[in-house]
Amino acid sequence: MTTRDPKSFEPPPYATLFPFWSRVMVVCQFYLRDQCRFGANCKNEHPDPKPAGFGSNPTWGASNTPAAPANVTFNVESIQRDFGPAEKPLWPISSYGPGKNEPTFLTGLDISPEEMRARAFEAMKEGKGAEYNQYEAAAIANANAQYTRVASDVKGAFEAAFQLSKSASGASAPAATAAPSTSAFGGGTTSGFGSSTFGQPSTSAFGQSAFGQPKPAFGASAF
Amino acid sequence: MSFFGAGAAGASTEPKDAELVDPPSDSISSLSFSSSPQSDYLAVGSWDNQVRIYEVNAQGQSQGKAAYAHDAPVLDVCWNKDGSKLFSGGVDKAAKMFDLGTGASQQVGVHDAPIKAVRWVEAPSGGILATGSWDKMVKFWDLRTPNPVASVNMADKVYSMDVVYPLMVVGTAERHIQIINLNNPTSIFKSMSSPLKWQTRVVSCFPSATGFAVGSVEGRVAIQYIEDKDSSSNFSFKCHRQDHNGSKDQQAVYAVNAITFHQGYGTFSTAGADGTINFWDKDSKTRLKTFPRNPGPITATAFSKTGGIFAYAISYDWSKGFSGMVPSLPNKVMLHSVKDEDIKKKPRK
Repeated sequence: MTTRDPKSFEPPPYATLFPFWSRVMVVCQFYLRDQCRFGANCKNEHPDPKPAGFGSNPTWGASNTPAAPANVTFNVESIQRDFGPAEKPLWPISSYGPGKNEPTFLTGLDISPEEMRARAFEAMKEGKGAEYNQYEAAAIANANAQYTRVASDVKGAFEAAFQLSKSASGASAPAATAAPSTSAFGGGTTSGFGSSTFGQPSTSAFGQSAFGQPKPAFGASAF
Repeated sequence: MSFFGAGAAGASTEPKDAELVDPPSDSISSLSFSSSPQSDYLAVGSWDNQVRIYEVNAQGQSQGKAAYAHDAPVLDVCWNKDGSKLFSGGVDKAAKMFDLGTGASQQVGVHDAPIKAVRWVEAPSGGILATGSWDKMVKFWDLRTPNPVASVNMADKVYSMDVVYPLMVVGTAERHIQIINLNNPTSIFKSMSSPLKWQTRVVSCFPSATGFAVGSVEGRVAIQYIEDKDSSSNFSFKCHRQDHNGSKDQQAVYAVNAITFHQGYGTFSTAGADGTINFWDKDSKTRLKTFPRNPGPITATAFSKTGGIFAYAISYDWSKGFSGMVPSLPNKVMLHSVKDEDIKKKPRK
């Protein structure tokens, strides 16, 4: 495998510009670099056209805002620890958020062990074990490049994560994130559960207060 | 025997756990006990494409009763309320129902990507099967019609889903956790980012339906209450980490693969990729029991309905990718007779 300059892995623009809930599909990191071997068979999104400004956005280390750690549950030291030998998970393909209930800062990295294994299962059926091995190695290398970026510029990462956290808590209430869902029964709020849906349940876990306006953030207790 | 502190060596004073007879030939993805009053049936889903059903008793004896196959690995299994039907979902994107009485299996649901989670919903108007998939949807099936009666768009791929009526909690990729009130199943009641920092592995509801536990790849579990007024009771704790070189500055941080609650006490188990299992009491914030370390990752756990049997699967969880798939790894389901003193709540300090 050729070695790559870690600086060539620019983070996708939406990691810093958009609140986490605007992402509706995992974008294929390899496609963005013209390196996806799965082409049309790829299970991740190949956005067409490619997001504008990819590769030319300022790096997230270049924020000019001085760090103001009030109201967030993380700081430069905690981020540094998260990527260090006492805290970094053994599973190498994971998204990352810097604190409790904080939006995901390293996005587009989540592949679960079961997804990897399902991919291996499909590849084995077609005799494409070598391609799976390459896919696995590339996914790990891609994630490691992101982690290395954070670890080598923790202060810049903190500033970007702080901005993300601020914009997330300032946005609309979480209930707005739900895309419209479908019901076979159509029309209004009926569901397949029948008329009992509208009655007040006798022992509801949710109670009256739970149907009030959801608060945008949970209590900011220390993590 | 000490209940607190690391790795109590109870192995020599406790009877050994019993092995399930005729286990699957590949990793076990899921375990589920039925609640039929006559006997305990244990369903086992596996990467060998099979769903197997065993009759087990409190003495650890087991006997295979039935089996059926998917076209690809099985990722989850669950029973309906009276234990007459078993449901399964997996990599073939299909949800199947097995009728214990007739021995027949049939497809009852389908997604556009593998089904990662299946859960039975005992709604007042009738039973519904819920399925969660990597296609980012949760669908509800009434088993009478081929189309879902309802569908919900989730924030990302469904990694874990649990139901204690009317609470449904879904953990997806990218650290989203979404809560659905099953009295209004087509809308998301609440969305949040995980209380943990890394990839969500498992979500599990309290039997009281007042909250849920989250486990991640980072050897940590978070306890989360639904109601904002209880949010001061939220907390998280580290688990399933092994020291390196005897020091805490370096740790091997393993994934939490499974969390299951004891229905009677509301205490719970965690099981990890490190091969260890613990019982915990979230209200007194104590660890109740540590199992001796097993020779492989724990991929699934389940309590029998009365809580007298704790089943756990030792098999490869792909935590080291393809190269970790070595022939010496076991594929076993163990049956542990639960001692009341190991699982009941401790008084608060």
